[in-house]
Amino acid sequence: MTWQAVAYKDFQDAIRSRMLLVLTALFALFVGLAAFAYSELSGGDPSGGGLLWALWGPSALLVPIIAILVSYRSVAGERELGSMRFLLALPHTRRAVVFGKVLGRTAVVAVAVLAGFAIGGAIIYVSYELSPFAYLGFVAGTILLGLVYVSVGVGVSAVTGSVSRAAALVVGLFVFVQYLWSYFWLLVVYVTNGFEVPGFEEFPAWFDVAAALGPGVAYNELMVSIANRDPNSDIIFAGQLDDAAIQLPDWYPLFVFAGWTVVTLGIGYWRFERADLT
Amino acid sequence: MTAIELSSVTKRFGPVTAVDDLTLAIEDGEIFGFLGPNGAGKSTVISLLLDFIRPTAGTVRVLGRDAQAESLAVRERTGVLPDAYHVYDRLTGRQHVDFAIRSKGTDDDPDALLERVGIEDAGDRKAGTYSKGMAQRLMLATALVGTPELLVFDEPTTGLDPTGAREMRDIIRAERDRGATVFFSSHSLHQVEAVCDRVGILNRGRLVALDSVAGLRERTGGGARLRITADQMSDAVLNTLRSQDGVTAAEADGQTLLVTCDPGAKADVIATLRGSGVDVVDFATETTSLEDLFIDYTTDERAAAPGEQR
Repeated sequence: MTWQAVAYKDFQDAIRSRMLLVLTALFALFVGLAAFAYSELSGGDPSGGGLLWALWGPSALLVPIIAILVSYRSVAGERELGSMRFLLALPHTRRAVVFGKVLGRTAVVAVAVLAGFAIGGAIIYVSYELSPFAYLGFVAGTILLGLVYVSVGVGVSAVTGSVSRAAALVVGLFVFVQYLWSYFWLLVVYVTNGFEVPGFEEFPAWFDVAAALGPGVAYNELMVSIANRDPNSDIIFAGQLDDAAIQLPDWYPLFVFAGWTVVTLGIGYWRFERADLT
Repeated sequence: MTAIELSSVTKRFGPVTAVDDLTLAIEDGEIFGFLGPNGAGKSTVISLLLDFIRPTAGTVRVLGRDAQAESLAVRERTGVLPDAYHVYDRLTGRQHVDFAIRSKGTDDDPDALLERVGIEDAGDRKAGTYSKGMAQRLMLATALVGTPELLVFDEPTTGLDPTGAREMRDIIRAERDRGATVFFSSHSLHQVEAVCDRVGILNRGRLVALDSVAGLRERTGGGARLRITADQMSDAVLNTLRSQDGVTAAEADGQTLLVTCDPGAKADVIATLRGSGVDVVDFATETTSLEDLFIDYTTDERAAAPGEQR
């Protein structure tokens, strides 16, 4: 397999993007501001909770945006411009191209995440003690979130040979996944209930599970469960699903992440493999 | 062995037939010039060789492998200079060559390759700042990585000045001399005749001629082209001319008649016209060049009946 060569090339290429620099700076700024605000305003919990508060908010929104902006052109852009003719004239399978791009672009997002977290972590560290467990857990969880959205971006990009179509698709998918996910399931409940909103008691138990399958909720739950395992902190955070009728296991966010990665990449690869690259 | 083998290959894009039942074999170690006007289907054939696209019908074999099912094995042993490519603007020239080396898993020296194509001084510059000619040289350098058995060049002299075009031809010859097969496309016969062992002319997805450059030259045979101005013209007269011995083509444009024929048949042509009741107002003769032959092969009338050409 030659996906390593593709990943390395892609990393070299994408890391030099000026847009990435701006996004990383913006991300670092938001994380820094949140960390600073927390350390100024609260005299409370010095470790895990502070980090969660400072890192979770900016990451949950900005990391998906960075990941998608870094990836949505990755395949369609090369097809539209013509560099794909150079890339695929070399002995790479299309699968290696897709996986290499996911890896290369995830590495780029990881650099942005590390840069942002380094600044946020430094500010927390100066004010309080830093919990390495929570810190490293959040870094890893956030990079995983980046991987999920890079996969969404590369998957969408592989579906089409047109950058503008990829952009339209990715924006639509992002809004749907990020903002409309639970409303969508609410709509499903409404329709399956005979076009009537069920009362609180009759609300189907699966609704919470379905709503929790969005990567946003999964990320939230992952961060909460990491924070709650922090040996340096006694504070217990409430997850979104604590009151749900069906209790999901702790590892469920990883299952959700894997699902989004496999499905979006699978569809993208399937289409790309069959495409005529003219 | 046969380096490239197309058997009854057809490629359709929706209603458009880009390649129409093409059968063609390129022998090992030859320089093959693939000629045709823009839109003839040359790039489509090259895209089929590299599995960028798949044939609607027929099979393509390259270096003894199926070009679709075993494309990776094909591309491992092939160097490609694609058409309508784009370089990675943010990567330097050397990074491009490094990427090709890493992709092919060879141990070539990137600097030696850059020097061979004449851009050793620009290796550390971002390729986005390159001129068209420099980008073309860079692509050539990446194509030479791993001393491939087969080189596929799509319009290799595009963007090159005359010196660059000559250097390109020198490299093509040197690669053939070390044992590689070179398959390259061009819309200009002039580029091809200086370097090719054999030439295939493609028009509207069909092969209309296949011969050595010398063979093609022979076909023109010091052939003559008659430009005749007549008082009238009819399809019947044209058909009579076309069926006449020594006449290879006859076309009418209003009252002007163009006839390609053996030099010895010129008088017969005039006699036939007179015999059909056509008054010859004026006539001039031109000798045909290879370029005329190429144009002759790729005009629509010829394309409509490619069988005659063989």
